[in-house]
Formats: sequence, structure tokens, C-alpha cells
Amino acid sequence: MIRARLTTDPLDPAALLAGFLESLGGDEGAVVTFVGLARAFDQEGRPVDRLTLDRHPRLTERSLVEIAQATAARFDVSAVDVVHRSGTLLPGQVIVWVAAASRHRRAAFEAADFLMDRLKTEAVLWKREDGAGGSTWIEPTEADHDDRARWE
Amino acid sequence: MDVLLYGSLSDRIGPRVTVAVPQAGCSVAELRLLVASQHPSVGGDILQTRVRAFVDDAAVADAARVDPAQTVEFLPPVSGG
Repeated sequence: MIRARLTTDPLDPAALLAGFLESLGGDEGAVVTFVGLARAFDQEGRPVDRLTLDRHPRLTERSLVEIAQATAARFDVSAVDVVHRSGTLLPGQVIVWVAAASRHRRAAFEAADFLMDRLKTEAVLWKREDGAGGSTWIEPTEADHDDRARWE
Repeated sequence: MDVLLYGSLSDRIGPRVTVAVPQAGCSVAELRLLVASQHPSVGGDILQTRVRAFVDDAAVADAARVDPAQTVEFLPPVSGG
């Protein structure tokens, strides 16, 4: 199962993991998941009130699917799942949930790592932090691009 | 011409603006200048190639021609996760 989707509903990692495990074919020996959270403080240490994720009506979901498919093509994984939030989030809420399953653990670890590096730099989303520091649009950092470049 | 904007650009002038373009159309590079002159609140970002232009969900180069009946979308640098 290779799946990716966008939602405005709050994400429940435990429920997503349960569904992912149920979907597996039975030949897997490893599942790796990653949960990304909305931070409570910005890069300057100032409190963040909310995070807004703007999305494109078609290109966003398409980019998520392409990243999931590229992951499945690159690593020896049997299942990949990506669920990404859009809309308004409060600090501590889940922005993104990813999972990868494989026969052996290394492929699942690497697939989840690759997924996140691609999502950080290529998912068609725009993030704005609102809080004590004002309103700031967040773009990928140099470190994000360096992380992405590791896979070239 | 309808122009759609996202992220920081949408914050500045809204998600959709109308831009007067020549009847014969113009290049994407010229459209960037027209958006900037007719909606100055958009700021200089619209002129930068890091803001990508899309027509019919496909990226288009600055040299591409667009006509008044088309809708052009401008996407600032993206970041998920």
C-alpha cells in the first residue's frame, strides 16, 4: 500500500498506526513512523500561538503522492503512508505522520528519513507562524536543503 | 487575467487578483512586472524566479507566453513537514 493524503482534521498517531498495521500483508518485520509536531516557540524562542498551512487545491496532494511513490520506488518497502495536515494548528498538534514498512528495519528507517527530507523541501505547502514574534512565513532552511541533498 | 497566489503572496494581496494584460498576451516575466505594478502591495518577491509560475498545474518558464483567458498561479518556495 502506497498512500498519501492531505486533511484538515486533527491527526491521531495511535489510530493511524493501528490502521497502518492492519493494512500490512504479513511479510513485514519492521515498521518505522515519524510524527512532526507544531512547535510552541519560534526560532528566536518566542511563543507561537498557531501555525497555518496553506495548500494548493490539486498540487499539494499530488506532491505528497509523488513523494510517497518515489520513496516506495527507492527503498525495499512494502507500504508507505503519509498523512499531512493543512489549515490552522495549535502548538503540540501533529503536522505530519509518515510510516514505512519493510522486511528488515534498515529500509524502513531510511524510507521514513527520506520521506521527511523530501516533504520538508518539496511538499506543496506554505507554513506561517503567528505569535509573539508576529507573523512569519517559514521556508526550508539551508539544513533542510542539505538533508535533502544527502539522497542525491 | 486571473492570477492566483499562495502563501506569503496571498497574505499580501489576497488569493486571487485581476491583472490587466495586453490583448495579445505577454510573457510570464512581463506578467510578474504587471502584477507588481498593478498590485504594489505584493512586494518584490513576485519578480523573483524562486516564486514559480504555473498554468494548468504545470510549471512554466519566464519566457512562456500567456494570454488573457488563462489563469496563472504564482507559488512561493514550499515547505511541508
